[in-house]
Parts: sequence; C-alpha cells; structure tokens
Amino acid sequence: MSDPSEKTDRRSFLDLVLKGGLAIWGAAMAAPTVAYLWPARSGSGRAASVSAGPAKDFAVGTAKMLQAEGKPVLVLRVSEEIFRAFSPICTHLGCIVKWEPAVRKIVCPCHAGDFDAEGKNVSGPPPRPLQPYSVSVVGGEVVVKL
Amino acid sequence: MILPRSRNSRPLVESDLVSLIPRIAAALVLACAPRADAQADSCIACHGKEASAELASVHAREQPGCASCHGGDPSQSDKDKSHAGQVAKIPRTAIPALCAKCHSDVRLMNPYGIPTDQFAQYQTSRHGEKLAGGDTDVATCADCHGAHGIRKVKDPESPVFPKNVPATCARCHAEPDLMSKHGLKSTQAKEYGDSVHAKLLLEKGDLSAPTCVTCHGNHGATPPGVRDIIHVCGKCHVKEQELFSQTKHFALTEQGSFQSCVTCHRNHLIRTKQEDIRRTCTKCHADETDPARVRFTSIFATIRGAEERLHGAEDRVRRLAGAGFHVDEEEVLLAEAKTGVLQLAPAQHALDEFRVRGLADEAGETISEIHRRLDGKERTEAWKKKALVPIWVFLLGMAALFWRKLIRIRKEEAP
Amino acid sequence: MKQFIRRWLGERLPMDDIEHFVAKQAAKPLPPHVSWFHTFGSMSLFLLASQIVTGILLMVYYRPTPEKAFESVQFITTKAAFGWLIRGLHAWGSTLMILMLLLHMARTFLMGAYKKPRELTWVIGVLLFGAVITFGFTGYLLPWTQLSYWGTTIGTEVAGAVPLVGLPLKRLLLGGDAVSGETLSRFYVVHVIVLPWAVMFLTAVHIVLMRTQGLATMDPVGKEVIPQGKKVIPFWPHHVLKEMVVFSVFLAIMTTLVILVPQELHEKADPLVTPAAIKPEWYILPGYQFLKYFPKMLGLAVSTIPPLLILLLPFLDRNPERRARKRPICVGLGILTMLATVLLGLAGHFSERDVRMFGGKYHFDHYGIPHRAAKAGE
Repeated sequence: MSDPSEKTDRRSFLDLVLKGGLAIWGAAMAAPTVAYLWPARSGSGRAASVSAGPAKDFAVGTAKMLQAEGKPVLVLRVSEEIFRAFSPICTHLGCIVKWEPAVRKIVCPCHAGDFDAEGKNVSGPPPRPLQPYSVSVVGGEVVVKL
Repeated sequence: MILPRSRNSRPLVESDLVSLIPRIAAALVLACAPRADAQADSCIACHGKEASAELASVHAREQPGCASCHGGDPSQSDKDKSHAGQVAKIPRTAIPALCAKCHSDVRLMNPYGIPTDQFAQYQTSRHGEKLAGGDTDVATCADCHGAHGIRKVKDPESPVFPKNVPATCARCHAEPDLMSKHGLKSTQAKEYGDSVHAKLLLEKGDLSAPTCVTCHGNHGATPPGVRDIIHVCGKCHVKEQELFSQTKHFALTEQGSFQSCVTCHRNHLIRTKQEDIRRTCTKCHADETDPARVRFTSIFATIRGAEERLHGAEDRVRRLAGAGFHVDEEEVLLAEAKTGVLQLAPAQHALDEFRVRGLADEAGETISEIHRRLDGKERTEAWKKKALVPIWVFLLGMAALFWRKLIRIRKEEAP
Repeated sequence: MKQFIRRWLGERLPMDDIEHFVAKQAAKPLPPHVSWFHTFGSMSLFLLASQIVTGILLMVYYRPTPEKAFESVQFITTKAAFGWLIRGLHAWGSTLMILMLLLHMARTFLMGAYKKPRELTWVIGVLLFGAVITFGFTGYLLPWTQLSYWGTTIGTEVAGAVPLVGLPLKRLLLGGDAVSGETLSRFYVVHVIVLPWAVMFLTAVHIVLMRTQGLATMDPVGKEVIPQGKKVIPFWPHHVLKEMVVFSVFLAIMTTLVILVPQELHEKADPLVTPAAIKPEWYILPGYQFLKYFPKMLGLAVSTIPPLLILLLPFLDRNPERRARKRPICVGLGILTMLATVLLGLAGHFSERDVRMFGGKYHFDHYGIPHRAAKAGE
C-alpha cells in the first residue's frame, strides 16, 4: 500500500504531464495555423503581374527574359516609350526564342523562325505570332500583366 | 477529280456521249450553275461528266470555258457544228504551252496575283526538257494539277496541297517499271515517307515541313546538284548551313569529293541517328589515331550524354508530376534545357568539340538546377512522412495518459 | 487570478446559478452500458468543428471564380505554409465525417435509442445527415477540377429529372443551364454560410435534446429506469476521458491519411472535355448506382423511399423493445439495408471498369455485373 502523499505526488505528476501534453498539443495545432495565415509570397490565385525591374535599367533595343508563375516571359524595349512582352515559346515546335538586337528580330534557334518586334511571325516555319502579354510602366517599373 | 493514270493510257478520259445520267446532270447543271457566258452551254449537254468535275474547279468561276482549251463552238447545239475546230484530246506535248497561253500572260494573271513564270520554269526542268524532246512519259501541268476540276493550291483537296504533294509525285516516281525505263530509282517516296520530314507534314500536320517541291522545286523540278544541296537544306536549317560552310567538309564538297548534307544524312530518308552517321564518318576516318576520329567520338559522346541527362530530368519531372508534386517551374526550366540540348545537333556541324561541349555544359547547368529543386521537393515530402512517427508517438502517449487518468479516477472512487 | 475573475463576474452575473448549471452538466449521469461506441457522436462533433476551422482557414486563400478557384487551391497546397495540411484535413475530414455519422446512426439504430421519447432527436439527426451530404456535394465543386465540374453536372441532371419542378429546380441550382461561375457562386454561398448556420442550429438543438433527455438506456419504451447511484457514469471526467482517448487515436489516423493518401487535384475543369466514366463521390455512389436499375421516373420515385423510411423510422417502428435480440425484424432489415448500400456502392465503383482478378480479366458493365473479357483490348 503506497502512502497517501506519494499517491498525491503521483497523481499531481500525472496531472502535470497531462496538462503539459495538452499545452504542447494546443501549440502544435496553433503554430501551423499561424504560419499558414502569415502572408506567403504574393497572395493566392495566380500573381496578376510580374515586374521586369525599373525602366531606367532597361536599355532601348534590349530584351529581358523573366520567369513568372511557372511561365517564361520575354520583355522587349522597342523605344524610349514602347515596351512589348511575349511568351518566348516558339509557335512552331516550342523552343525558346531570343531577341537579336543586331538584326532587331526575335529569332528561334531551332529552325530559323523569325518574328518581328511586334511578335508577328515574318519568316520560317512558325505558323502564328508569339502570344503577347500586356506590359506597361507603372511608377517607373516595367510591369507585365499575366 | 484527278485523272486516273494507268500504265498505257493517256490522261484524258473518253467522254461518254450516249448515257442518260450525264444528260440529267447536264440539265441540272444548266439549271443551277451560274455561267459567266453562254459559251459552255452546249458542251455540257453531252459532256456531263467533265462538266460536273469542272464545276468544282477554280476555272469554273473564271472565264475559261471548255472551248478555250478544247476549241469548238459551244454556241452551236448541232454536234458537228459544235465540234468544228475542236481538239478533243489535247496531245500531252501541247499541254504546257496551252496552259501558258493564260498563265504566262502577266496582264491576265495580275488581278489574281498568280505568278507567270511557271512555263519558263517548267521548260528548264527535267520534265520540260524531256517533253520538248518528245518524251511523253513525263509530268505535264494536268498530271499534277488535274485537267477538269483544278483547285487552288491552298485547297486541301488539291493534289498539290503540301500534304498531298508526296503522293502526287509518287504516282510516277514510285512506279518501278516507269522509273527504271528512265534510269531512275523508285524508292524515294517510301524513303521520304519514313523520314522525319514526312512525319512532320503528315502526322503533325506542319505545312511548313518540306515536301518534294521544297527541295526540288515545283515547276522547275530538278534534283539539286551536289554543291547546291547545302543551300536547299539551308533554307530551313540555317544554323547547320552556317556552321558547315566553315568546315573542311564543305571545302571538299566544293572540290567534289564530298556530297555535303547528303553524305551523312542521305536525301530522302534523312538519317539522324548517331549510329548511322558514325558509320559514314568511319568510312574515311577509320583509324583510331585519326584526330578527326577522336574529335567526332568526343562530340558524339557529349551530345549523347547531354540527351541522356535531359531525358533523365524529363522522366523525373514527369514521375513527380504524376505523384502529385507541383512542377510548373521545373517544366519551364526543362523547356530551357531542351532548347539548349536541341542546339547541340546543329552545333556539331562545325565539327568543333569545344563548341559542343560549351553548349552542353550550359544545358547541363539548367538540368542540375532542375534536379536541385526536385530534390528539395522530395525532401519536403519525405519529412512529412517522417513526421508521422513523432505524431503517433505523441498522440498514443496522450491517449495512454487519458486512459491512465480514467483508471486512476475509477480506482479512487471504488472503495 | 481565477478568484479575481470569479468575484468580478459575480458582481454582474448570477455566478452561483451558472456554476450550478455547469456542474450539473458536467456530472450528467450516463447509463452504465455507455461504451466506446458512444463516442461516435462526439467524434462527429469534433469533425464538424474541424471542418469549420479548416474551412475558415481555406477561405482566406480560396477564390470562388472559375478563373481562379483551381489556381487558388493549388496555391494553398503548394505555396501557403502547411496549406497542404489544412486542405488535406478538410478534404479527408469530409469523408471521415460522413463515415463517422454513419457509424453514429448505426449505433443509435442498433441500440434502439431513436424510440420514444427521442424521436425528434433522430429526425433532426437525419436532417443533419442530409445537410452534411449537401455540404459534401456543394464543397466538391469548389476546387473546380474536372471531377468537380462533371460530377456536379451529373448531380444536377438528376435533380432536373424530377417531374414538374425538376427543370426550374435545376436552373435554380445551376444559376443557368449548365455548370458555370454562377453555379460556383451559389454553391459557395450555400457551403460557407447557409449550411454552417443550419447545421450549427440543428446540432445545438440535437445536443440540447440529448442533454435534456439523457442518453437512452436499454430498457423498453415506457419502462425506462433513470440511471442512479453507483452504476452511473459521470459525463465529466469519465466519459470525456474516454472520448479523449478515442480522439487522440482518431486524430493520428486522420493525419496519417492526409499524409499517406493525399487527395490529388488532378486537372482543372474543362467544360469542353468530359472525362471517361465520371462517377460521383462515394457517399452518393450507392444512390447513383441504384438509379441505373430503374427507368428514370420510377427510379426517382423509388429512391425517395429509403430516405423517407429512415427519417420516419421512430414513427413507423412500434416495437417498444430496444435490445437488438428482441427486435429481429427491424434490426434484420436495417442490417440488410446497410449491406445493400455497401453492395450498391461497390457495384458503382466497379461498373464500367476492367479489372484483373482470379487470374482473368473482367469487364464490369453499367449495372456492375462482371463479364469475362474474351480477348485483350475488349
């Protein structure tokens, strides 16, 4: 027969462990909830747009390649005021096209397909123009709408 | 609408003067077909079959009626009078000149935007040369375009619509007896049919894929000479032409001891596999110590390695996508890597192993990045599963604690 | 601290009464036969709470439009921290809740606890079950996947087949003539506001009734002996501790399911492409399969009978006995119904499928009957 005070000790130990366990349990359920609620990168659904950086860092006649929401985007500065953006996926067989500043054309390295600065297919096999994106300068930043 | 051609007969089909059906057809045609003028009317009354074939043609909508090719007087309803001055069956040797009467007339063709050099081109072609010499085995305008029922080239039913061109040429060029009579092979059609160009054209429906006329020309059809081949292939394969023209092999082609693209790739079958091409290389570079052999061995190995790495990455991405992972960004990287690896095949035409290795390394870096990211994702999944262990331990522990508490309370209540 | 709060509240509220009430509720005596099987109800309640909490969390990132719904769920499962867990708990929670409710209903049925004076509790329970099924049906559309879209199309087709009111009813449900953004909006509203309020209200009534009337004993109707004395089990802490044990194990099982058997999103909805052999979710499958065996009108009429019988069970069953052994016909029919439902579900699952079993290849037809496939590729 154990002595009463020992029993009480064991009892309060059990209670202590139980209460501790419940506290841990509560924390283990609250922590992921808080982490979940903490704003992730850019909100849910798809990001509505992606930035190509400040306009002043974008030389006229050059292009930049970006990756946004799992899609590649080619942004081209045609002149001081005019920016254009396209999907760089060639409409012929899917290779990624490049802007060639020397000839001012968008060229596909695979079968010599050519697109002009408006993304229109001008020569070679590509059957359709490049898919365009809407791009504008917002607060000095070049923003492409996806 | 296409005139069937059998071994011995001439292209023109005998008209059937005495049958009821063409007469009814003729009556219907008379009632329904809008005619620019009354010229063709009396021809239709008897030649119903040709008339109905002609209805679908592009000529039917325009000026030429039966008489502009066949002569005769369609305003006459009497048979003898209407046949007067007619050439019923136009001799094959006369066909090109006859078509050229309109189709080489610039003023006439201008409004339609149709070129007018076809006849001139035809005369420079093998077909034209032979026909001028009296050989009627060759193709004339009517053999490819049809006689009655000619459609625009853009029309998918036309025998010269890109997808139909190989079959049209094959009608003669795949006939062994006809071809051997002229000292020609008849295997081209089958070889082309097995090639990647045919697959692009016929299976994928890519109308920009090369057909017979893309390389041989249409009206001026001639097999390109050895020195010209690279220009023909280079129409689309620009990079390959650019690089190849800087190599020794190109110089040899100029000299005549190498046949540029065709040497390695053949012409109609277009061999692309490494093993096939290697066999051609070893014909001249058989010696193990030959530096060229060392070089091509290195190039082939680099390309093969890069392709294998790419396939490995593609398989992994596909597998993980199927297992429920989200791999959108990795798929974009795959597209980049694929472009990089696709550049290797053209790059090897420069016969420069460093160039090929440089490109392969770039693609390789992208592929490494893909694997790195996928590793991260698989690691995250793995830790989820591992986390189950402490979760079970904890929860079973809590269950045990609750149970123990219950037992304890019951014991305390029992006297 | 506790003392301070008690005193502060005591100056404003009748704390003695409140404490007395709480203590009474806590000490509520439960009949001695109350066992582990009596935890299904509280597990259902836990699952309801879980669905509400995870549902609210999901709403933070979910976008209820056809353009963004699928992508927002993808965002939750890939980018949001522990989003996969929240969504997984919600998806599995819906299946487990229905299973738990079925277990709860079966337990109540087998123990005759639905009889007088607890008929109303049963009726409300059946209505609650219907509401939960509706939760499942409306929630299924929200991720806007191929399964969502086409499963909803089929479901609303059935509604449209009802004579007279069918077509207007279907248009009302769909917000148009086909599943669209309008449908998504309506289903979202029902799923997120209408049903939660309805279910919480019904649940509250259900629990109040249960608490007021106490748990049924196994005594026959009219001869109930209120449990007293040493034999009773206090609700707190005894039964609650039992529930906590079950809860701990159940939570472990649920988490395991979420991690090892994730519910995949598959493809986004494409109104132009119907996938092959679309089937409704498992809890609608038996009903769906049942309808295949009858011509349309007859099927619809006949299919209303089982739910009505279940709803009105306490009024149709006149036998005062509660013990299963003493009501063989009723219990027998009940078990047969359960078996038949399971069989229908299996038939629905295997129908229009090819399966390799017993060394041969079998093709299951529309009615779920297997035929030996004579040659490959059949």
